[in-house]
Amino acid sequence: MPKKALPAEPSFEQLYTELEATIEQLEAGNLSLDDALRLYERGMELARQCSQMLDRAELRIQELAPAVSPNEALEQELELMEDEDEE
Amino acid sequence: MQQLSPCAPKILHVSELTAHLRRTIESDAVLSDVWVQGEIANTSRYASGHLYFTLKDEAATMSCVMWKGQVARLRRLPREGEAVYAHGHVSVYDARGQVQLYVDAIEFLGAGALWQEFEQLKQRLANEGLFDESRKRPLPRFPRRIGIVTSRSGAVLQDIRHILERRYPLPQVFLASTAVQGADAPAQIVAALAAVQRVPNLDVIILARGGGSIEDLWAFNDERVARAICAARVPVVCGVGHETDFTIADFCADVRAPTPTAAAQFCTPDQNELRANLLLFERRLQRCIRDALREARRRLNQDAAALYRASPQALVQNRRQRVDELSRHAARLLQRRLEQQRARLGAADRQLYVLNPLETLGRGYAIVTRDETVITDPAQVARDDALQVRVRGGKFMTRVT
Repeated sequence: MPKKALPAEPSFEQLYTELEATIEQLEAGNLSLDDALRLYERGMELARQCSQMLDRAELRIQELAPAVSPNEALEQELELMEDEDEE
Repeated sequence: MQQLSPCAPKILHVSELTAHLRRTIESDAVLSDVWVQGEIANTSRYASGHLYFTLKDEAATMSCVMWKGQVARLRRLPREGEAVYAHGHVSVYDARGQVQLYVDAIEFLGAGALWQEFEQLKQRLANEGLFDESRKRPLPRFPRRIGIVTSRSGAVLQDIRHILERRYPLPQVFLASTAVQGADAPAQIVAALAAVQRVPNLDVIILARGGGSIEDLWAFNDERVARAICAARVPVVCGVGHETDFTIADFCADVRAPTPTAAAQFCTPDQNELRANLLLFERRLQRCIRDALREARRRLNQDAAALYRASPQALVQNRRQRVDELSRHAARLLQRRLEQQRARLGAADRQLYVLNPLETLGRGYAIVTRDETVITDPAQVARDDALQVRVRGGKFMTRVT
C-alpha cells in the first residue's frame, strides 16, 4: 500500500523526535547565545505540544465492515483517506 | 396384556419391547458413558445440522448420530474412512428399533495426530524460510494506525482496548472481526487480515485470540492463515492463547506475544513513561540554557576586563601610577644622596676639626717658628735664637736659653 503524503498537523512521533534532536543539539554545546535561546524555546514548545496531545487523546475503535466487494472496499478506503485529511 | 395360558411368557407390544431395551441399555453404566474407537463411514449431514454416520471395525458397525450443537464444536468434520475416538451414550431409536450411539464428542486420533500435523506443517514452512528472522520487521515506535484482527465478542477485544486506553490512546484503531475457532475460522481470519490491510497507512496489526486447547487454537495452525500473515505488508504482532502456546501463526508473525494483552503492550509506548521523559527533557533544556547564560555572562565579564585593560583611561592611570612610583623613587635616591653627603661632610668636618691648627692651639698647643720656619725639633734651634711663638690668643717673641 503506497504511503500517502503526511497530513499538515505534525504527528506525536514528529514532535517527540524533533524534541530529542533539539536537546541533543543544545547539550552538544558550541552554540551562540542566540541559537541556544532559539533551541530552548523550540524545545519547550515541543514538550508542551507532546503533553497536550497525550492529554487530549481519546481511544476510538472503528469496526471495519466485513467481506466487502471491490467497490465497497474502494469506498471505505476513500472514507478513511478523508478522515486523515481532516486531522 | 393378554395371557394365553398360565405358563405362557408375557407378550409385549413392540414399543414396550423397545422401551424395555432402552431402559436396560440406559441403566448400564458402561453404555451411558462410553468411548468407542472405530472408522467413520457413511457420513451425512442433514439440513437440520445433525450428523449421521456409522462407526465400524472389521467385525461390526454401530449407527451414530451427533446433534448439530455438538457438531459445531468440532474443529472440523470427520472424514470418510478416518479412524476416530467417539464419546457418547448408547440408546434406542424406537421408531426404527435401532440401537445407536449418541455421540457428543469426537477426537481425531487424539491430540497426538494433531501435534504431528503441526510439526509437519511447521517444518515445511520453516524450510521455505517463512520463519526467518530476516523477514521480521521492527514495530513502529509511535504507531498512528493500529489494526486488530480478533473476535468481536469475548474478553480479548476488551483487554486490548483497556491496554490501549491506558498506555497510548492516540492511534486510530480499526477492528476486523473474525471467528477465531471452528472450521470456518481460517478463511475468516485470512479475509479479516485482508480487510484491515485496506486501511491506508496502517502501522501494525494485532492478531489475537484467548487461551484454549490445541483444538481451539487450531485455526492459527492453518496453512492459509500462516501464509496470509507472512504476506502482510505491515508488521503483525500475534498474541494467541497463553504464554506456553505456540502456534504456526506465532512463528510467522513479526513479533510473537505471549498473550493478547502483551501484544497490545508491544505495539505501544506507555504514556506514563512518555510524560516522565517529557519532564526530564524540560529539565535538560533548562539546565542547558542556564549553562549557556552563565557561560555568556562569564565571557562578557572577561571581555569587559580585557577591554578595560586596553582602554586610554587604563593607560593614563597606569602612567600616573608609574610617575608616582618613579618620583617616590627619585626622592628616595635624592634623600639617600643627601644623607651620604652629610655624613661625609660630617666626617670631613670632624677630621678638619682634629687637624685644624687653630683647634690645636685652642687646646694649649703653640706653633713655634723662626723666620717662618716651623720648629718641630730642638735641634733646629741654638742659644739666643729669636723665636716667634703663636698661641691661640696671638703671637709673641721669645729667646732660646
